[in-house]
Amino acid sequence: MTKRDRLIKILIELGVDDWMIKEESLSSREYFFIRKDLDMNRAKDISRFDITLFRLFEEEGKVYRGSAGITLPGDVSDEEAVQRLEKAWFAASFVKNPPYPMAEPEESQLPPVESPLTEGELSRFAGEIYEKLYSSDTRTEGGVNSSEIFLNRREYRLITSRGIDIEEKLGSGVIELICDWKGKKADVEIYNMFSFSDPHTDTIEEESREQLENCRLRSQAVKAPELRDIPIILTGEAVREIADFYRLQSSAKQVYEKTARGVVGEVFQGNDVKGDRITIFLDPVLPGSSGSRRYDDDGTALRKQEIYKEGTLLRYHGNIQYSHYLGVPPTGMIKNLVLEPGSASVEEWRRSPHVEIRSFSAFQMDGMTGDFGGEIRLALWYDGEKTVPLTGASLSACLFDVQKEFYLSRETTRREHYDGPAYLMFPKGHLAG
Amino acid sequence: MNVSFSPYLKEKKASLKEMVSRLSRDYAYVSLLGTDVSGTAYMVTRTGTSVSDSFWAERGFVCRIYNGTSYSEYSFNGAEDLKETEKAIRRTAEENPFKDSGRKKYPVLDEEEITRSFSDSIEENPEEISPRDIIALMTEYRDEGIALSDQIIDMRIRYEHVKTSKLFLSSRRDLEQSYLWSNGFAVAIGKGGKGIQYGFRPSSGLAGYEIMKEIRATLPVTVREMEDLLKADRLIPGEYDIICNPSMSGLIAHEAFGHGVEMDMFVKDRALAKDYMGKPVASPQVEMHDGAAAEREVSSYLFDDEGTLGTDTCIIEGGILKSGIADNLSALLLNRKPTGNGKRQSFERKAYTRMTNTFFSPGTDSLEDMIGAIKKGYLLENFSSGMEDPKNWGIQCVSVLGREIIDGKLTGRIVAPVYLTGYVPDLLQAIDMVSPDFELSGSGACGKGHKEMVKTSTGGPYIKTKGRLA
Repeated sequence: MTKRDRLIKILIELGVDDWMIKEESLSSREYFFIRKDLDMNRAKDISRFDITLFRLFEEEGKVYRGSAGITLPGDVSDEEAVQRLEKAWFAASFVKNPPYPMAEPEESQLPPVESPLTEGELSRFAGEIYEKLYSSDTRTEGGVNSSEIFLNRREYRLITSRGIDIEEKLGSGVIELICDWKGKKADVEIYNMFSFSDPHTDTIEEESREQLENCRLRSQAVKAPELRDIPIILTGEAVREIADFYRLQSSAKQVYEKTARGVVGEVFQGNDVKGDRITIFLDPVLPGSSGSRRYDDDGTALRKQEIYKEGTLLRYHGNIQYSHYLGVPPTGMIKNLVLEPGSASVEEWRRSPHVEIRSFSAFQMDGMTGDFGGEIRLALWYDGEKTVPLTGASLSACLFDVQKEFYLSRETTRREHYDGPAYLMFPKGHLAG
Repeated sequence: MNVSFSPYLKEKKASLKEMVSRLSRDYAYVSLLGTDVSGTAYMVTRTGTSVSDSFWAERGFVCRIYNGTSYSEYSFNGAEDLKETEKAIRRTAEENPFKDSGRKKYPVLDEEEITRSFSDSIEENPEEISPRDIIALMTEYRDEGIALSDQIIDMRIRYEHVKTSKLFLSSRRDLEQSYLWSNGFAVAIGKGGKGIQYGFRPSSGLAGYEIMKEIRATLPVTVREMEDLLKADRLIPGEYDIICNPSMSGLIAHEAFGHGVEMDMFVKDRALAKDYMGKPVASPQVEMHDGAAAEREVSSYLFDDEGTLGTDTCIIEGGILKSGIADNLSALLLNRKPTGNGKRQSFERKAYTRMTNTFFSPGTDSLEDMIGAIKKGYLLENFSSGMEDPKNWGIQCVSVLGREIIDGKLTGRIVAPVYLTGYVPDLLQAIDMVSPDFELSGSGACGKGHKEMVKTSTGGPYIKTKGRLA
């Protein structure tokens, strides 16, 4: 009998109403570089069981579904497993959540999520990735300061008391890249971290090349003055975070908790939108994304979902629990977001005076309040005559105040869990110098 | 009561010691860290309750080995078949898939012989308290909080306890430690004419269930913060005289010369502080420390994740940059003594130089005198996030709110959120008043870049300085 079967037997013997067992095996090969020298190599092989126990109970005439989650290491003994599961089963009887259904078995209509990282030795991809990452590091004034390459494989099997039995193999790569450049006054650096599912992707070279170029520009940057009523162009992580804000504002959990403003059938951006209206899809299997899945953690089979159309919220999205509470069909939890591009080109915006923010020290987007901003590590300011690299200024605003007028570029990008406009422009921005 | 050491690690210790000994015959340095961290996180909100294992729960091992040039590591969690594990460790030590890359050259770690065991004590063991009682008390707090304001839409109460047992073995070290920390928070979410806002108050400590009393005490101030935020204006960007409360001054310490003196950044030439040792970087009132032995909070321990004993490092004294903090391998390359700051997110991750308990030391100026000394400025309270830039000494600290001060008096006007940015030495050299208050908080997590989360605590007194706000 396998350990998984023994755990199921224990759950049945305990009389657990409903349960989910996620058995996971995780392997990684990790390489840490200082400049071009390998500083350390690491490997990881671990296994574990994530178990959730559900308890349906009644108290004072009300029915509740309690739950408790625990993680057991792969080498857990039967004796310890019994002890931990008993404790969790007991704890679940005090978790008084309104009842909700469990996910039922359903065959996914989506193609399997594929990644070359799921087969063979993970280390065989390391050389190719290194070559791509360092291919643009050819200048003496600057280059890659340090990098970390993580190649991950995750194999999991999800089994539930309702007959769900799903097996998937997932592969992902994560790179942390720091580039630096010699400046006239001081040396500068720019930080970046990105992920992928296909190690053969061009993303690695592109990210490295763009980052080195941004670093070169930052080495020439001057302290930013205060700039008022100027178009501000955002790119990269900032655009992804703003797009994600709309996902949060339409999530069944946040809507149920009354911490989101999304109302199905209403235009989220307000009634007199002057700029582009958002159209957003959640796509479970976006090619290249490390967040692609056919099923969510409950075992719900995922499908592509249109969430906003021309600014109007079409549906809430979320897991089975919160969707049930709102009385809407569950979409399951989907990581990948597709934002439809706009009609204007960033090149048109760049012809007039503007500030294009290429890099923040950390872009902050509050999914509840709509406040966003950050300190700028690199921006390009075009005053109508010349372009000046800026650094050190900060941006701070509330998306609820400015969402009536922003524009999305027709140029698109596919990075991380996002596919959509590469640039977003606010026509009347304020940069604090 | 004493926090007991993990029976699991106790049981595995002999066989792991044998494996380290076998590997040590072929490799000049071998060490093994074993972790058994367990804990439960409880959350009660208006709409539901959750009970789950803590994010910090982990159990497994990481073996570090000298591969002849540098160091390799292997993380694993099945200690049933150590022969296979040993083979995997040897394979990892031999691996180098890069044709065109050299290897960084390290000397062999030379450890002093130490055998020690440490077991911390707490007042109330949360593992002995029924989940029924914990959830019932949290529900009571939630209802108490909700009753404090008619603008409230949710009151969230979180409590988490984490028991840590760690074992470190090498040919010269045999170390064991066990301790327990707890943290929690109250979040008051409210709705007003300007939208949704939330007040947040953390509680933390190297403590057990007794922390729950602290959570209750924060309820009125959490709700008040939410109400203040609902009437807050946006700030007019500019340079202002500012006072930072202990939470905010702790964040500045953390982001400015906490990350700034992590010496693995010195090795990579990513920290400007490397060139400023022994030089003034702050005003003479400024003293700053970091260390597992510097204070008692969530990042206090006997030894770090590389088997180095925790210390108290004085980073800035009298405004002069005195010392950095270091993990073992960075110290080895820099020919410095490690400071017990080698920490891992878990046994699954690499060790880096990381902060522990980081703070400015108290001074003698009262908060009233500080407010009285400001013509136009803000009292910045509590932080929501921060980001370091050790290479260029930029800083980004986001404060939850600022209270306006005009002509030496708080006007009652509130601005939020407040982004404090600028050049670190400018900010620290402008510190002209430091209060005798002292508070530490360790409820959150600190990342290195955008990953590698570890528990740290930050804090200090009120400080008065000048800053660029937006």
